[in-house]
Amino acid sequence: MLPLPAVAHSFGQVYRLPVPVWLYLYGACAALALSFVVMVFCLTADSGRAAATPAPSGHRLRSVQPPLARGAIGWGGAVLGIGMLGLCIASGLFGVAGPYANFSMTAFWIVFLLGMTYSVALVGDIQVGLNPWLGLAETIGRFWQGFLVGRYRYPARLGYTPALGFYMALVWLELFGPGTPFALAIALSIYTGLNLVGVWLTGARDWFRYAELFSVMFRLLALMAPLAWSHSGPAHRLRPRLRSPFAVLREIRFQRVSLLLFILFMLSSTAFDGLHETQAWRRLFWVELYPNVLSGWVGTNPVAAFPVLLRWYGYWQILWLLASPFIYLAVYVVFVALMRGLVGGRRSVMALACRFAPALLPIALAYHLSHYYTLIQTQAIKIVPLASDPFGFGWNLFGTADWWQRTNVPEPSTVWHVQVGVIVLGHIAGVYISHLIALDVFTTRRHAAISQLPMLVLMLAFTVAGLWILAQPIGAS
Amino acid sequence: MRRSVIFLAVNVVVLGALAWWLVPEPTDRPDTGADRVRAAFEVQDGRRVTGPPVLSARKGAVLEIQIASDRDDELHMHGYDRTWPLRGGETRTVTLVLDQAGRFSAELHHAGIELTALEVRPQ
Repeated sequence: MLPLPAVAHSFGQVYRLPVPVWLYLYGACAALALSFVVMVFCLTADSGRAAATPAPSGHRLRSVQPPLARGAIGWGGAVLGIGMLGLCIASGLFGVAGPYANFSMTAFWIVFLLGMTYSVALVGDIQVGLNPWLGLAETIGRFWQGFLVGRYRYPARLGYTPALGFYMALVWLELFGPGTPFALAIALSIYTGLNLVGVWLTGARDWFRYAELFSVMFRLLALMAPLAWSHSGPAHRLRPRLRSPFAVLREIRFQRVSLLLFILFMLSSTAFDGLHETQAWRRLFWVELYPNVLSGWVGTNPVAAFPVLLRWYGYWQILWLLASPFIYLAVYVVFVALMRGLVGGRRSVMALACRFAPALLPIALAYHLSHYYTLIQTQAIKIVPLASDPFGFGWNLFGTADWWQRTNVPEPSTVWHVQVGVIVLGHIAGVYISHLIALDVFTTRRHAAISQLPMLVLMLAFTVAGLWILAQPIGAS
Repeated sequence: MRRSVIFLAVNVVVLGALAWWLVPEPTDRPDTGADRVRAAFEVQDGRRVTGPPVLSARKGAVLEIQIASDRDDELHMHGYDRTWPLRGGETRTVTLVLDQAGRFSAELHHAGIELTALEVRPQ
């Protein structure tokens, strides 16, 4: 099977239909109405703390710093992670070129990236135990004294910028890359090399805290999990404990603008992925921009101009993808400035923007779930037959090569309801957490309430935009 | 605890009221779309020359498409996982009962293009 360069949104067939208009309106109205219910609930709550009360910081350090000791899964997890990475690279390099017949694409894009995203949001930061790059660095560190310590101090001003850069490269590869197992294998090899050089230069602790994409991303998502892992008991074993995700997100402090940008890119890249498939987005370039602006350079004959226009369309799309977190940041900062203008206070706008950033995480997760969850149903199960024939050579190592060959198409009406439900739930969680943070930040309950009016408008805008994208007709190639 | 229950109850009431207001009445006619959807395509040099880029139908309808390709190729309807060989210079008519709702790509394997996208709405 050949890839569809002009069609593929990334990897994996998404069989979704645009959400019907009435369901879109229902979601938007529900988000608006429930926002006010949350507001009234928070205003009349007894549990609000005054600003002078310091928030407990129990989750703080553990949540933002990866433990370098082997986690819940032990060295077995490292071996599994490294083995899977090795198999992805080997099957990509030496296996068949078809993306659906090769183990690497399903294993990386679907099982690792989507599966781990939802797993860590559900059961906590288990990726620490499975992260192949951390496992590889630790393995090298056992034989190479000083490898994990690093040669130089991590430049503090960089913050989370390397992780953001890797994230942008990942989304570029997903949306506009060649879409072949070979390209994925090359990208994974380069990423592995960069990580090892990074650890050698700056040390494992800072590298996996600030720069390694998946550590940063999954640690952020794990903040929303109702489970946390900590050492306890006489044997000092790692055990899970139940916790309230709302309390964690209320208390966590993000200090860096680069981390805020990272969170905004989680939102904006998913929104862009949905938007760039719609008819409205394609019309903007081909029907509006080309005849009115670009025809002056490439001529009015569309057939002759097509090859050049196609290349420009690629640059145009990448430009908007890379600009998207900065656009979201500008909008977000305007609303935070409005909040500050309404209630005043000593904190700067950027400090407030960082302080309220955890409230964006549930919305980012909801966007992600609503766009991609069907791929778990349609493509993730294919990993079972692919495990028996990872290179696509016709092997049947475990006798599962013929399993689940029939396509499991999800029912559109179920998908619509899940998509809208998840986005509305994410919105409500975001509004609620933002209120909780406001109760900690501002001195009076009245100030906290007033401060949330701009935030409410902003979150409604994010939610309605997310729903609007889902309801748009999908463009033809 | 009591507050949480009240909070949840208010949410359910709000969502229920909105549903009563916005959810459309189920129609008595289960299938308002056409029973048979027809389209004709012409493919030259690995590109679609004529034919709609998107085909819309309702679940339960029968799709009937005519394809004239100047080269040998293979049509693959994703989701349904049906393939039909095409011979260069000949016109072929293929039919498919649309028993699965969703958005499916009709791909020409050798040309590596999407011939059309088939949108099958649920009943």
